[in-house]
Amino acid sequence: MAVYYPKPLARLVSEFEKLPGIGPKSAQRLAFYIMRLPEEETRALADALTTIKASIKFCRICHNYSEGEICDICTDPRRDHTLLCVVAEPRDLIAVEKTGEFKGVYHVLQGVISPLDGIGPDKLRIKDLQQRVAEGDPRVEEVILATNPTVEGDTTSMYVAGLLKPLGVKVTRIAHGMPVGGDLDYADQATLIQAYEYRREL
Amino acid sequence: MPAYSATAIVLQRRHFSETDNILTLYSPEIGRFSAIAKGARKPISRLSGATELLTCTRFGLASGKSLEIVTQVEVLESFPALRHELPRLAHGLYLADLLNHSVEDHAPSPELFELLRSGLRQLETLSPPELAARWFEVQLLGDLGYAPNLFECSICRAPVPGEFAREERFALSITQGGVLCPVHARPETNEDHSALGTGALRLLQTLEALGLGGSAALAALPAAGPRSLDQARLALRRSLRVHLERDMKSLEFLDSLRNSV
Repeated sequence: MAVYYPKPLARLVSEFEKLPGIGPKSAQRLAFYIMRLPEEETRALADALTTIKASIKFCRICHNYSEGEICDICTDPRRDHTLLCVVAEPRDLIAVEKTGEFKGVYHVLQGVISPLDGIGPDKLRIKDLQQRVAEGDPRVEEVILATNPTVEGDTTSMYVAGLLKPLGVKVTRIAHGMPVGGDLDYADQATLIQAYEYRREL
Repeated sequence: MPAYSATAIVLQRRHFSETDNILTLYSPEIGRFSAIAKGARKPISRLSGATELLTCTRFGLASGKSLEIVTQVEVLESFPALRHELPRLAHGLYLADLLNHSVEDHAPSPELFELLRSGLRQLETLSPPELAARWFEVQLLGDLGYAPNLFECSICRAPVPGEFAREERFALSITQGGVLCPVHARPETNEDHSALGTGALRLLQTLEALGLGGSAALAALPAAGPRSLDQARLALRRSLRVHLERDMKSLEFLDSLRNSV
């Protein structure tokens, strides 16, 4: 790479290549785009990158990204604090928020239990969740586990449910099965089994 | 890009790029190999269910430059009961982890494939599920050529438990390649000796005698006590650790579950 680019440009291309979903071609395109940007726009981008690490932290209550100690959702009095949705990652929280249907609060686990990768409950925010449900004010009445319908998601949900049920809280999990717009003919056996299992009366 | 098909169980799955997964598969015809399932993480992907961990699938494959490419899938068995009980699922992942780290790429063994498939089937219903894991471990050690001699003392050749049945002080020695009678067993002082009571010894003997095809008989075995199950577990774990030169990552989670009960 160094043969083709001046050193600073090579460094920028190489930094872009580290980003998820960015290959050498895309990294080169982004670097050349930035080279053509006006000075002030380049500075604004650099400033955004350097300040994000300093100003964004994890909410002390739900462990979602937050600008302050406590995030906007946790401080919002209009949200139902008796209803707690547990998600694996901040991006899952955003996906639920985008539906506009959920009015409760969240808890972000910062990952899922993945025994094959050596990721156990101790590496996640599960103890904080247990404490939050046990000592919450107002008291949490229902915990909705919104983990992916994967082996890791199932493992995490079963583990968390096992910890929370003895605390006397209602624990539910989001339904899974056929996707909206899906086709029965193309659904696999595993998906259909789950769809039947989680069917509901009309 | 030649196309072909193979039956395989998904041992490992890693995210790759935005929507792809790289799978580690074990097939009776090919052995362990890796394949990429493109778009498998998209919500309406046809591949997602069939490429989930611990699923036995008939794969349509095309040979790529460095990885095989999954082109078609048909789920053969998804072992759904595993996903209802945490200990069953955790043991299922352990079996996959163990097989994944016991074999080389492209070294097919229909026996090992059947061992995994039978182990997962037994895990769905067997109580306690760890009995299926112990059977799997004993049979795996045998298939890898590390079967311990369980029926006579590896030092004095006395039949065990035999006349020592009431003494409860046997051991499994890795360096001696088998069980030791109470005269030679020193589990308190010798790190190589894993303590076994008569119950644990008889359990290991029974599990070995069942053979690779004997998993169906597991449900009919007389119930083993928690002490016997624990001793068998620790002895087999030590044996596998020495022979495979590593501990399985999935054991950490199994241990944490055991400790939390």
